[in-house]
Amino acid sequence: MADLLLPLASAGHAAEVVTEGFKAWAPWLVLFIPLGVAFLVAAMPPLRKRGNAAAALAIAGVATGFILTTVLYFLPLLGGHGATYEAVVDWIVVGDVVIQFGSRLDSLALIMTMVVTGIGTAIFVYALGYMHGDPAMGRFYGKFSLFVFSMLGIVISPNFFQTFVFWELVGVSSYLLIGYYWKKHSAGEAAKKAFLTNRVGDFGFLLGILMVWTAVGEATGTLSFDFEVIRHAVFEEGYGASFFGSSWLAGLGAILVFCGCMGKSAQFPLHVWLPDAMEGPTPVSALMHAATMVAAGIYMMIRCFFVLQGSSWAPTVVAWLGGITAFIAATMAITQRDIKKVLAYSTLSQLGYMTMALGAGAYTAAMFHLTTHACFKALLFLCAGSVIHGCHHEQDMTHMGGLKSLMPSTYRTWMIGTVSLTAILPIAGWWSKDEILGSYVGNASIAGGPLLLILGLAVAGMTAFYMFRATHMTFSGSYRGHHPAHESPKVMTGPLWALAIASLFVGFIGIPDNTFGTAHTNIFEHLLHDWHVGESAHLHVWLAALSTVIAIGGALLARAIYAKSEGKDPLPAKLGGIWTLCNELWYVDRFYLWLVRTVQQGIANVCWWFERNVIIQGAINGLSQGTRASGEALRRAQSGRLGAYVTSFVVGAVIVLLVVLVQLQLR
Amino acid sequence: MNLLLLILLTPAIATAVLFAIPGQRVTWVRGVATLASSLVLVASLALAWGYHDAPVGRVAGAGTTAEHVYKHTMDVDWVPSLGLGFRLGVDGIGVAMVLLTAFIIFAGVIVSYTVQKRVKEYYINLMALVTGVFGVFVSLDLFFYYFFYELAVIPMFLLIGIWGSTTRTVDQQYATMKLVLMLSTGAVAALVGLLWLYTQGHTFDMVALEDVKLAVKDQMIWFPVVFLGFASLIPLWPLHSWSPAGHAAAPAAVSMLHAGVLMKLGAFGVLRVAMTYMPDAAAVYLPWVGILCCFNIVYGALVAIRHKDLKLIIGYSSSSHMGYVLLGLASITLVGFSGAVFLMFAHGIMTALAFSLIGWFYDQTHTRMVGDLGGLMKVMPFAGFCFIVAAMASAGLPGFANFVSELMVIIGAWQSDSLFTKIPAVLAVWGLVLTGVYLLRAVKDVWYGDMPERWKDLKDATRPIQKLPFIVLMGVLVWFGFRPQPMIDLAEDGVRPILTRIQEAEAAAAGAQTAATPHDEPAHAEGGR
Repeated sequence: MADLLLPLASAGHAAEVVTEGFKAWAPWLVLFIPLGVAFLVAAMPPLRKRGNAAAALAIAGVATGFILTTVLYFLPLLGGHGATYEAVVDWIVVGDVVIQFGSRLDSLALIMTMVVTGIGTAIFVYALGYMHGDPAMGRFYGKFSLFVFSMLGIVISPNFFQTFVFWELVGVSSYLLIGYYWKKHSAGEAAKKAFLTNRVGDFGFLLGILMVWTAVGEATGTLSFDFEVIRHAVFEEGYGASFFGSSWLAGLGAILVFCGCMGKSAQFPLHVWLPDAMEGPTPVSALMHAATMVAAGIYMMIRCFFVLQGSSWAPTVVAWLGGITAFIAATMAITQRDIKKVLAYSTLSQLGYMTMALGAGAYTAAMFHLTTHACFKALLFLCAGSVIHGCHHEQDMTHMGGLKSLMPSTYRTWMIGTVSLTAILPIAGWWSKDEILGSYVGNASIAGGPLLLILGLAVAGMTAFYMFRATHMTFSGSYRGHHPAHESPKVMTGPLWALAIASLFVGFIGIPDNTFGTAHTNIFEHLLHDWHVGESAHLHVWLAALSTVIAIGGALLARAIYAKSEGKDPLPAKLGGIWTLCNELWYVDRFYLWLVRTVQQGIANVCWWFERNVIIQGAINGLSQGTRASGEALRRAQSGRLGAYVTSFVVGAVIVLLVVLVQLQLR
Repeated sequence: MNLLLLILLTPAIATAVLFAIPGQRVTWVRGVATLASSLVLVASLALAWGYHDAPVGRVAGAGTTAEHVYKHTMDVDWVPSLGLGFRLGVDGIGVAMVLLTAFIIFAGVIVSYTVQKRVKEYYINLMALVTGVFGVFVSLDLFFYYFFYELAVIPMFLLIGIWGSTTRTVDQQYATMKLVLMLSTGAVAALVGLLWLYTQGHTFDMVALEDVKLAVKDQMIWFPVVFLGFASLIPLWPLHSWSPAGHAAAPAAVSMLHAGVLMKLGAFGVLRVAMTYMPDAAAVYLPWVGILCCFNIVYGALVAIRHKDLKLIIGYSSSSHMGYVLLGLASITLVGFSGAVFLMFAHGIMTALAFSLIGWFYDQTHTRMVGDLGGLMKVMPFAGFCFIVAAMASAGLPGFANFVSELMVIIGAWQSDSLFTKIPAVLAVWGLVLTGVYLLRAVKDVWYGDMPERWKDLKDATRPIQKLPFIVLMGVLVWFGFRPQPMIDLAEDGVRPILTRIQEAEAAAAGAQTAATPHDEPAHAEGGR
């Protein structure tokens, strides 16, 4: 254990910490501008009713954040002048319990802020076209801004408590936006399901935070939620051993913290909410349920990676949960007919990859894949939105087809996204996914590591298969819809191209150092140097070649089956039971439904029976049977005249007074 | 003039003035009530605002570690030979509770503009009720404390009995009788305890009583009596069933006061009397309260899940949330105690908001069954927005005072070394999940989805005066959600001496335990933990 920690301990914070001046406090500005927008929209009906004005304000808000972060922090970081900017104040002080609020913008937070505000800006602009004509557009942008605020709160949070606060706020904005079309019964159900599933995850998360908090208190002598204090406790104060005297409990704490990630990043077994969340408007799916919010869990785990490192067995559990998620989600994606659902399961699967990276200790790889995935998955969702918009709110791929010529811009950008997600050289996804798979080569710290590597490769093949299946069903052949399809307006295709270009090039910032034999091609790792732990990413040529071959194989297979199928799916007949299993989502949702409807409701029924028959009927009514008679008398005494009441009240008060006085005199 | 006297007298005078107004002058009646409640609110805000800098009035336990400061005190002898006097004064807990009551009565008076039946008598009772409530929170004399306590119960009986309603789920008469009987039984138990306290100290002066050292043996007998007397009002499981039924039968403003304030009278009594005067017994018994409150939290939530009547849902939810207050008290930590007091405040405001909103549409629909409603967002978007806010606050989401206070309670319970509260803390976190289940279900069934045709003519709150109470209550929740420290400081000021006394008793018991050999003092050792 100790020798595992040693190299990590040396990965200390080399960056200088700035706590004063404008640059230290500017993250607060980035954080609170979107909240201000949300508040203005909520409080000013004229603004809420003029959708375009609210939209302009919201776009300006998120774009300001992007520009501020780029100019103030990102460009200097590229120029080699990176620092950690900190502005923290005491929020709640009760005795020795101190809870702080503020911002800590280090390289990790900076990259995430760039992702959130950058992709956010593109999607906010896109929504202008997508939501066009919606009478409640102002409300939409208000809630969307609230989300950006909540998300940034997690990103710049310096401590676990603040993370939890914004964690919940993100849950609220997700709830509100999934239920945006509240007249639809399914939207209401989906919103509720998302919220409650996350709540279950948060149950573990909060307990995990509390466990870590007390353990850090034991190790260092001060109670603190601060990430830096926890890092210090893990690496220098023997936190793992002093965890109530048990390293097993340290692992339990880490897994409980991971429960938060399991809920928010939809990892097995709490993955069930994410596909249903597609009930929300497509821009919401793109920004929240693909690019940023669902990645919050991964981000949080990277930020507190030392909690995971404090245990010997917890990383293995995390890795396997990630692997399982990646695999089962890919199998589910193959059976979907709804274009957004395909992408939703694909998101689950990719998040599974990131979780695998967390388990293997490849935190930089996880963050890299998070970044590239945010670009191309947001792009794919926006393309899907464009398709849905163009086909007049049709989401079923069997009613699409032939859109290649009808929607050329959408088709081209979709292809860029697909190739990137499929991870075919040399576009974004290839570099980042390969880093994750590479982290399993020769990694002995994970039990069953080689098996996970094989699982990961299988998922790569399936990814290619379901993406090209969707591509062919949507864009190849002839158009099968009922309404004439049309290309989307420029306000929508513009953001598509912006994200497409990002997807094309973002992979090049993470080329492993050994690729060309010269060092420092891995800019991403270099930027994250103060967060980078363990070995540098290494390009394994055999693995890269193998995964590419598998991906191309999957794509060709999909082409053979679907290129000329005209929306008909021959697979159900061929696969039989396996298809049913995948199409029924491995019966996980049904199992939960049974848990809620039968088990929970059953327990509630037992409680209510007890309440009715034992507490009310037995104890209380039994007691009151006797007094019931006097109650009847009292009721007759209610003449309905106030005078009578007042008289009786005064008489009663006097009697009480007398009784007390007499009793006292008797003493 | 003493600020507390002003707060106490204003509703009392309003009651008298209302008597003089002819019953058909409805506008005048409402005007007087509104004026009085506004004045009280302003005075209470002034009280809270200036509390930190106010001069020290009287001090209990002066010179000890558990110095208990009361401010704005007033001391008028009445029956000196009995040690009976009209004594007023507050510590931080009292200030928080006075402020809570002031907000709720202000909102309650305005919400009650919809009452059409015997308006004058309605407001007379409301004002008498609130006089009693204020009296309890500001009295420093056991006699008046009890007097005001009873004063609050009687108008409650009339308000529910006359202006309440019978529904499919709850019979009005039954609920009224049950409520009054339970309240009175609890009050009698408490009264016996109070009288015992008097026999020990020979004074009704609550400050002087703090300096009376009670024998540990006696405390062990009397603590349960006083505690259960007050706790039936909280309501502690299994003494809770009067409360949801009472809510369900009561008119809106009365539900607001009932859940918002009356329940807090119980918790206030537990803190102010049982725990303050009998710290040794508290140190022994409180951990067991940690077990009972689990039933409050989990069982209450599960029963709420089972219900379809909105008022019963919120009623059982109140019983569930008051379990958190009890858990905070059971933790015997500073953050737990402060959190409990803060939660009393936050829960009071939240639940008042929820009941006022249910009242708003119940007046029009005459049904509160979730199955009958649906899609109401279409016709009443403002009320729907407020209801979702109340649900979010109740479910413990950040941005609202409830979140901070509930987390403080959980942190406190977790921080305590005793497994008696650590395991309940885990259940309390699970309770947050269950709360989400029934509240989101209610929100979805009432506000989302298809709207039955018959509700298309329902009216939303549109005029500023209609919106005002909801906005005020939401504003308070959000304000203290973002800026909790002022309320925490108030709570901490009040609970610190009580906590110190209990902790010292705990330490003394532990010391006795280690000093005594096992066969010397087995009975006592078993009591300590």
